[in-house]
Amino acid sequence: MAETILSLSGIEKHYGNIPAAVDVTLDVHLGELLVLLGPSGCGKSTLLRLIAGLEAPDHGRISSNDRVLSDASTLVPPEERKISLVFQDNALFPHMTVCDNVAFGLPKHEAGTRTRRVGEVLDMVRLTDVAGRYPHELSGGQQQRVALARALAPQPTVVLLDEPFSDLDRTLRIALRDEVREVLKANGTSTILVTHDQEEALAVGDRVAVQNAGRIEQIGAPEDLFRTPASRFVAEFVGETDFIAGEVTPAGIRTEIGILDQTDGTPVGTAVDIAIRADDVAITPDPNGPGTVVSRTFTGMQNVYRVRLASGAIVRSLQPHTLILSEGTPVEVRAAPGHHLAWFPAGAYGTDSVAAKLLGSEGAPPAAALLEEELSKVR
Amino acid sequence: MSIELSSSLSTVRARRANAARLLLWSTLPVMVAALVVVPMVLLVTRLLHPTGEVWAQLWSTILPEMIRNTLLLMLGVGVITFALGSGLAWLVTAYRFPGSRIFDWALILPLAVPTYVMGFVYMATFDFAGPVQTTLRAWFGADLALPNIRSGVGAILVMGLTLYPYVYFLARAAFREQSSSTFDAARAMGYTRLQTFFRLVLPLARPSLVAGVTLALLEAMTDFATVRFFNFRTMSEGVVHVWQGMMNRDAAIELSALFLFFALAIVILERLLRGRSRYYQPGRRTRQITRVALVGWRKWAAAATCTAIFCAAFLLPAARLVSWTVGDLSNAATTNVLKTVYLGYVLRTFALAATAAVIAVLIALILAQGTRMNRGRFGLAATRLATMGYALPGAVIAAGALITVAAIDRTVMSASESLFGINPGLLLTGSIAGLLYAYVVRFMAVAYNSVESSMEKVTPNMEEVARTLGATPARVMWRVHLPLVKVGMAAGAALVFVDVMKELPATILLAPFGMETLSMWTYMLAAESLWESAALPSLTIVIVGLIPLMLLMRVGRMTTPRGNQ
Repeated sequence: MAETILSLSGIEKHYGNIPAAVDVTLDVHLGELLVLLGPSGCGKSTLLRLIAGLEAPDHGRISSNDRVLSDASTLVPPEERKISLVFQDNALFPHMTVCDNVAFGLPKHEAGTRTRRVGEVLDMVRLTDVAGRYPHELSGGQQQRVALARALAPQPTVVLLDEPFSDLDRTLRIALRDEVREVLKANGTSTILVTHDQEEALAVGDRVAVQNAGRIEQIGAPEDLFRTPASRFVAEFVGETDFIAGEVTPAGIRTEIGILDQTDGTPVGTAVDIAIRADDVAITPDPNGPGTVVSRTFTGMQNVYRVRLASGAIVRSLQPHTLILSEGTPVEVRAAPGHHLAWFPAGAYGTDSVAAKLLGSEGAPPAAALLEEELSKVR
Repeated sequence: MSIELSSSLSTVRARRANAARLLLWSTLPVMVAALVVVPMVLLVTRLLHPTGEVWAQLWSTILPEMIRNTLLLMLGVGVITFALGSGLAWLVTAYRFPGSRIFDWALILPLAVPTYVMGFVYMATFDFAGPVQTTLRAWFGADLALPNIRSGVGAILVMGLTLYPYVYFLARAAFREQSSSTFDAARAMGYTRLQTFFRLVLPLARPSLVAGVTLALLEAMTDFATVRFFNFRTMSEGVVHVWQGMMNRDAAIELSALFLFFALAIVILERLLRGRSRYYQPGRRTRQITRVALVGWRKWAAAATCTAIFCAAFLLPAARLVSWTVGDLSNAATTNVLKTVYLGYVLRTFALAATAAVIAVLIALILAQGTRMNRGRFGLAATRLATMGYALPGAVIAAGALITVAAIDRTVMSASESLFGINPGLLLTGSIAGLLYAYVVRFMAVAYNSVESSMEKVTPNMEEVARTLGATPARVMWRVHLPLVKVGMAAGAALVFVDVMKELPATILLAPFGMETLSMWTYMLAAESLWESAALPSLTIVIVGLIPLMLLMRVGRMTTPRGNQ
């Protein structure tokens, strides 16, 4: 495994009764881009602030390259951590030029190296020609690139990006996030990026950590997160998932849209909910079909259909842009994933996936108990 | 502000240093608040042991009249400033007519003329012996019956004309902030422009209108000179009269304690009227209400109204002051006297105003930073108390400052005597300290608002980014805060400077012998009906007073992104 540059273990932070970080343990590897993904209020920004030293954790230990940054007896102030930060609102200093903003974090006494380094990073983000301008004279995308250049200039061990693209419009956001990723990769910078946008997380992250109510629910490569979500929360939050009811049979899991050919030793007869996405569902027009088209969303290259099943459940189905069915069309619906689907005990919202439970413990607790446990967390 | 240095070296103790810093900064606003609250508490405690016979005498003589007149003044000034201020503001924001762009800023100018200057100019012009009545009698005969301007009506009219710009300025800003979409929505539902104004625009601007009228009322309440010119005895006049005329400081202090409740009632009334409503326009600010060109007689009526108000409130007093000054300076006998004393008055006034401005701005800076670091309910309450001086009449603050300074002197005296056996005498009482204290308390809100709003430009994110880039808290203060806040500090200082220069009641009660200011000089000359001589100091005050108005208008223009120009 790659060398670890930043390490968090057992981090806890609560604001009154609100958990912002619950037993957070994670490592950041040298040169990787780790994305911290979660809904607003899940504590992901707090985690960045704890790492930067802007807040003190209640418990736990943060260290960087074997140097303790904070634990029970130590709290290194932010200015001595060599960890820089980029905010959503870019927080550029309005009274300084681009050049002065970038130079802010560089030591003053070496004027020559200072100028050279500013030139280097401005070149990296392609802003050399606006070096003399003031922040308000730049576009939103340019401002955010200055903020990145300013963060990179002092060659920090880790760069933290807090929702850096959220204030930009969609087209610019996608262009800028690709560009930023290239700059960070070319520079070999170790980065943590916080976002609530799952699409962004999957697109830019080397690894993605999903956080919910302060707790890290899963951490792994974007593909792993997508394919084998460790909890119902992760399944719902990553990749627009629908759930349908099923039952374990000797042949596989039986659902109203076909039998899924997958078994893992769960007792026959267990009621489960299966996480299924639009690309796993096939539909064909059929006057006697059990499904009904509810709506169609045309996205350009594809049509996304919402289909109501006989049970009343709604699933989405991804179809080519050439297949156009009007609302109310009866359709035949089949589950055709071509890979295993994640599934969870029926009805227990927010529980870990059964597979993960089976691997980690003696066997899944009854769904009702899990539900109770989850509810008590929410309270 | 470099107490924070300690945390940069030691890493282990940083946590404790953090806590200590937070504690220090959160106690500072409380200490500043104490500066304001202690004098007021001392004042109120005086009411607990009233000197009976004085009260009985006051009650049987002037007190009922004073209270009645004060209430009448409030009512009259309130109605006039509200009508003039909101009406004119609507005229210039919603319509185009000849000169509308000029009136847009020109109608603020009367704010530069202190009420007592306006008072004596009107007295000199419209009184029985003044040019207007003399001319009219010459035309229509000596027994022509003309209303007596030396009355409550005269005082109310003059103050309404001088103080309406408070309402005008805030109403104009509020009308401009309203987006055209709500206005157009009402129009689309069948309301005329005028109906929309009364049903939508005016109610939406209520918080600003209430704030503007309150400022005008507080200003009218603190004035004692204008009402004295017009023989209209109010509470403020009463305090000064008892203090100076009857030389009874104790009674004056008790009277001002009573007066304090009047001022507090107005502030409470403002809070109630403003309610919990915060009328923010939803979403992003959109286009402003479109200006419509007036046609026919309407456009001339609008232009004539604005011209009349502008002439009455600014052009007339300004022209009279200039002509008197020119006349007075060409008179050889007075010129020499003026030359010798004028410079002295100017220097003293400027030195006093500059000192007060610097102190007020520095304290405001501490207050603003303290409130920023401690946003709890406690910190906010402290700030509110620390800035409530603007609501207190000058005479009340003077009384409070006097007894506070005297209390400090007594404490120092007894401590010094028991410790060293030396009696240092009264160190502060009767010195310039009491006067500066009163100024700082009275104008703290002016300094604080400027400093605080410029500090808003420094977002917490900026401070934090600077820290993560290796800057110590002290360096963040020096490189990020100071450059961004210094404009606000300068503006705050300029505003306090001008306010101190215009201030009269506290100055006249507390200025030590030999520290007479321009405003006192103006008042004393005008009280002797020496209009020509009073013109030069008045004109000086008015001209310097125009400076912050220019600043205000520039700021106003900058904060309106798509102006109507």
